[in-house]
Formats: sequence, structure tokens, C-alpha cells
Amino acid sequence: MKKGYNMSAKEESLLQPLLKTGKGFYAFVGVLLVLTVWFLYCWYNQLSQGLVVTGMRSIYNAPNYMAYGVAGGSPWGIYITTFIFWIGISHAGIAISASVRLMNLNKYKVVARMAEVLTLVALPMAALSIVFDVGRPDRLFNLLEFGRFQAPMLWDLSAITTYFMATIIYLYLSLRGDIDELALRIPRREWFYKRLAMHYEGTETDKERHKQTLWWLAIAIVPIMVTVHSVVSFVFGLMIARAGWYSTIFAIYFVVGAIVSGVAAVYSLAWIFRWLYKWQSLITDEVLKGISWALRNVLIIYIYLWIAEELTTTYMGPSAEIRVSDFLWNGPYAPIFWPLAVIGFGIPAIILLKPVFVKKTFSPKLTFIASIILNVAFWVKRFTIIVPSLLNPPLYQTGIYIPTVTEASIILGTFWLAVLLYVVFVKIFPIIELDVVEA
Amino acid sequence: MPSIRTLSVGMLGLLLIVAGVALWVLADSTSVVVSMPLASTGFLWAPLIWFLGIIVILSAALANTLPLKDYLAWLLVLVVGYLAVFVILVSVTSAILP
Amino acid sequence: MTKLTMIIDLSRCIGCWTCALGCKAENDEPIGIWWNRILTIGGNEIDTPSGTYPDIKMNYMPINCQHCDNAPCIKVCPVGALRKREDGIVFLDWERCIGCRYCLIACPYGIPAFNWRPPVQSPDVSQFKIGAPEVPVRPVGVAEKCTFCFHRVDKGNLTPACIEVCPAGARFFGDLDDPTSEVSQIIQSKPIVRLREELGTEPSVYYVPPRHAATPQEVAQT
Repeated sequence: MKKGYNMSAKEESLLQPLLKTGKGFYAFVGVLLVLTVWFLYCWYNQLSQGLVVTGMRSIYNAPNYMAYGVAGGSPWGIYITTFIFWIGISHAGIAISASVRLMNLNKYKVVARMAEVLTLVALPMAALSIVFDVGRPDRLFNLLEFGRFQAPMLWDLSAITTYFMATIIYLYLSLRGDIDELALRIPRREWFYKRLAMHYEGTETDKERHKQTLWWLAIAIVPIMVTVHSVVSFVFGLMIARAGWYSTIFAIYFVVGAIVSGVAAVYSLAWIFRWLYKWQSLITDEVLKGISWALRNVLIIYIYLWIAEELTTTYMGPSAEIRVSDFLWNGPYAPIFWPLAVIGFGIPAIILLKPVFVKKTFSPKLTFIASIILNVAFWVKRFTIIVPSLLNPPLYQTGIYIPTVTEASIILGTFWLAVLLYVVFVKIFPIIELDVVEA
Repeated sequence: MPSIRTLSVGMLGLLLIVAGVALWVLADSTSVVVSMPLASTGFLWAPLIWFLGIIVILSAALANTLPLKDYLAWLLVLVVGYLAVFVILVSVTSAILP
Repeated sequence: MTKLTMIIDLSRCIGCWTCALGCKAENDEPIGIWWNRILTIGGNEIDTPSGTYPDIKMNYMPINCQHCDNAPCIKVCPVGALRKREDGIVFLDWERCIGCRYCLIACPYGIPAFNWRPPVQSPDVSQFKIGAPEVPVRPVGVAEKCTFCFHRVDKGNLTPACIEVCPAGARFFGDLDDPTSEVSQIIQSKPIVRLREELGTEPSVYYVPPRHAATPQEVAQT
């Protein structure tokens, strides 16, 4: 059954990325590698010169001739913002996979795997963002040796470890059948796929056992997903000292935000793959419409929570809270805040809500633009949550925070690495489950 | 009904998790009295045991579906891989940090 | 039980920064890092009053680690680098700190300093050790803060550097559990206030309000 195995046209279409690799791909990877080298160089500079190469500074204020440029700013900046962003993106994987598996929404099976791989790639990038942020990454073992269970950061590390391990096991088990099939379909890689399939039997009982195991794993992963972003939110929400952060709704606020940004990322990916590989028959308009429907609903919930947050802090707020809100609404960060609200959230909301009121106006392409805007908007939103509170400490004057080029280059490194890892996966394994075409 | 192997892997994972948490709670070094502040205390690696417990208990899913040798190979990859990340980051950065 | 406490008399403080400099010298603090700072209660800049002439008001408030009994920094440190000693000192272990800066964020008083760059002294006297030999030079990437001069306390000398050098006699230090100590007597005889009392951090640093400020609440809310 090796040589001359005849694939159906549908199968061949699904396996395009594995069978053909054009010049465009190599050029794309080449550019990413160059950018990665620049990122590594900047990280080297940060390690050898210290975090002073970033725009972050200590909270306390002092005249500059005393502080020598290390005070009066925000101790956390775009590294932590990007950490939260990647955690948010990682929520897509299991939100979609679990829905498909637990609720039998087989229509969306076609995007399940691309969502799972997104999670698999996003979680290490989140961890990497933190490694960039700590002052002494050579002491990371202290976390394993002396870690304190009362510290929110250890809750983070535990939740992320659990989520990552669960996802990689889940992905492998759901991929295993496909790997075994690929050994037949791509003879030149047979040795690799056969090894990786690890004596997969492929019998009906075997398949049933996999299905059962994956079902239970999916059930276990859903609470893990909620826990992950909740503990990330507790890093901020439990801080009595920081006005603008100390809030009871942070856990649900962050979890809903993560689901929105994750689903938006999956929509973007689904649309890109559909366009790139001409998968209109696989990733149908119906599927995209369904994803956009979910996106719309969680976006509305998120905007509602956002309004509740803003109102609570400003209605009769303590002066510290008013100062933080004022900084965002009227102050130095107003040029970031208002475009964020109007363009970053307003436009996607309009695009997503229009098909509700005007029938038959769902446009996959327009929704794709909305999903891209939402992803950027969510990064900026996290920035506006983290930095203004730190720039407005109660006992001191307002500081400033401007990320440096080195800082931006380092954190962009996580994006280049994420894309590189993702495209390598796409070239080796099918990004859509094979049994979608084997009806 | 999950196999004996699956159940025993799950139990082992649970044991590690409980042991890790117990050691963690007992050795909470927050308010330990140290008159020589730079002395190290609570030197227990309890969090590591907890993390290993998490990895083992999740690997029960693999134990349920893979042949024994392949399952052990995967478990090794997961545990060694997790620690390798720390080792690589620590060694690379300690070479560069002043 | 010892309960080390510091009292700063704002009616005597003249904002000379001698205590800050004494601390800096004693503890080998590199440029840019201050464990002890003097805030100007008044205008927006250092040494400027509030109000319009002739109704202007200006006072000084030195601020350093409050060594809280219910310290937020201890709670959030992921590696337990911050620990509360039996005598009340909140100690930051520079060997264990991984530089996550969560203590900077959690501290309601904005106290901890962070080594953003490798420590540099100006002028460069790196062939000599500045300050007490028991206090090592901290590497880049770790946080640091006031230690109530633990190295002096451990040798039985209950006089941190800042108390020793203050020319106005505005700073006091001692054991609050000892009824005969100076700090116990001041607490009983003068009005005292602590910063951000409503947060429940139970700081060990008390302030005697300045004469021409309004209420202790105003001082505490600066």
C-alpha cells in the first residue's frame, strides 16, 4: 500500500501544505529567521547591560540628578502585557476543542486542530515573555527550589505547566491516528511518522479508547483553562496598593477577554488557511459564521464587564482611582485609550453586530479584518490595564513609561518564534483532522 | 473501566502532588527566623515534586492509550523536556549576566 | 520579643537628606538607588511649597521601608526572598531574589529599589568596599530596600545609620516591646500616625506630624 497510494482529491487538498512547499514559504521563513537573529542580539544586550535598556523604571520618584534615570516609572511594561496577551491567545485551543468534543459540534471540527496548535505555541511564548522580564533569569531554579504556594506567580507557573502538559498530551492523542495514516500517504517521511505513531493499532477498539480518553481529558482541561487566566488576573486584582488593579471582577474580566482574543485569533487563522490553500469547501462560510457568532457574544460580555469596571472606579472613586482613570481618559494616555475604544473595539463590534440586524450580510473577509483589529486591540487593552496604575502611585507624582526599541525587539521575538513554530507544524502535520475528509 | 496501568499512573501522580503540597506547606519559609539573612532555608524542592506530580497525573491519558514502552518514553520526554527548559535558560543566561 | 520600631519626627525634619546619604554610604547603594528618600509635602517638585504666597506650606517626610507586620511584599514574593525576622525586620535576601519586581508593585509605599543596571559607584572607587563589610554589593537584576541596618542590630547596636547621622535629632529607633526605650516613651507622649493605615499593613515606622500641617490624616494621605 506504499507507493502509488491513491489519495482522493479532497485528501490531497487537505494535505497540500505537507506535499508542496513553494518559494514563498522559504522566503517567509527566511525573513522570520533574520528578525529572530535581531531579537536574540537585543536579548543579549539586555542580559549583559541589565534591564535599564528597557523603558521600565522603579516606582519611587526622585529628581533625575539623584535617580540617574532609574526611578519614576513603571516596573512592568510590554513584557508583562505580552505575557497576558499570549495567555489570552492560548484560551482558544481548548475552548474550541472542548466545545467540539463535549458538545458534539462536529461542524467545527475543521478548526479544532489549528486552535490546539495555537495554544501549544502560545503557552511557551507566554513563559518566555516572563523570562525576558525577570532581572536574574539565571536564578529560575529558585522557583522550583524555594517557590511559595502563597505567591500568585507560583499559581501562574502551576496553571501554565498544567495547561501546557494537558494540551500537548491532548494534541498528540488526537493527532496519533492522522500520523499513522500519513505514513502511508507520504512515503518519504514514513520512518518519521511510523516512529511517532508509536505502534498505533488503528482498530475500532483502539479508536474508541482514544475517543474516551480524549473526552475525559477535555473535561479536565476546561477548568484548567478557566484557572489559568484567573490566576493571571489575581497577580493584579489582589494588589491593594495599586489603584485601578484592586478589583473583584478581574478574574472573570480576564477570562472573558482571553476567550475573545483566542477565538478572534482562531478566526484569523481559519480565514488565512482557507484563503492560502483554497479550503472553501472545508472551512465553509457556515463554519466561519458560527465562529463569528461566538466571537460576537463573548465580545458583548467583555464590553459589559469593561463598562462595569470603568463606572465603579470613577463614580465616587477614591482620589487614587480617579487619578488613574483620568490619566487614561484625559491625560497622557488618552491618545491610546480613545482610539482603542472606538477603533479597536467599536469597529469590530459594529462588523460583528451588523449581521444580527441586517440579514444575510455576513462577510467572511470583513469579519477577518474585525478579528485582526480585535487581536491588536486586546494587546493594547492589557497595556492600558497594567501601565497607568503603575505610573500613578498614591504617594508620588505620575511617572512616564515609553518602551525602547530594544525592549520592543525582544518581545517581538516571541511573535517571530510563535509563527516559526506554527508554520513548521503546518508543514509536518495536517492542520485539519484527516477524518474531516474521510466521511 | 480504565486499565490498572492507567489507575496506577494516576495514583502515582496524585501521590506526588499531595507530597509536594504537604512539603510546601510544612516548609513555608516566609517567617522563618534567620539571623544570618543570607542562609538558605526550606531547601526542599517541594514545588518541583508538585510539578512532576501534575505531569505524571496528566500522563495517565497516555498510559491508557499507548504501549508501555512508548508511554514511558513519552513520560521521560515530558519530564526531561520540562526540566531542560530551565537548564537551558539558566545556563545561557548565567553565561551572559554580569 | 523584640519589636523594632522607627519614629520620625516631622516637626524636626529639615529635609537635608543627611539620613538618606548616611544610609547610602552605610549600605553601599549604587547610583540611582535610594533606600531612604525625603518627600516634600507641598508642591510638585522637591523643595517647593504648596499654596500661593503668603499662604504657603511645606514639610518634609523621610520614607523608607516600613517593615510592616502584615507586609504585602512578603506575601507576593514567588521565591520567599522577603522574610520577616523575629525582631520585626522585613529582610530581602539578595541571593534568592530573581528580580521579578513584584515587591515593587505590591508595596503600598513604593519602597523597593531595583538594580536596573550593574551597580556603579560615583566616583568609581571599586577597589574599595563602601560601607559596612557585612552588607554585600548586590548584583544587577535584584531588588533591595532598607534593612533597619540589620548588621548593626545583630551586633547589639540599635542605631541604624540614618538615626546616627540626623543633625536635627528627628529620627528614633528602638524596641517597642521595651517600655523604657525612647520609642515607647515618644509613642506614649506625642501624637503619632502611620502611613496608609487603612490598608492594614501594620507598618513599624511611626511619624510625629509636623507643626504647621493640618491633621495627621492629611499627612498620612500625602
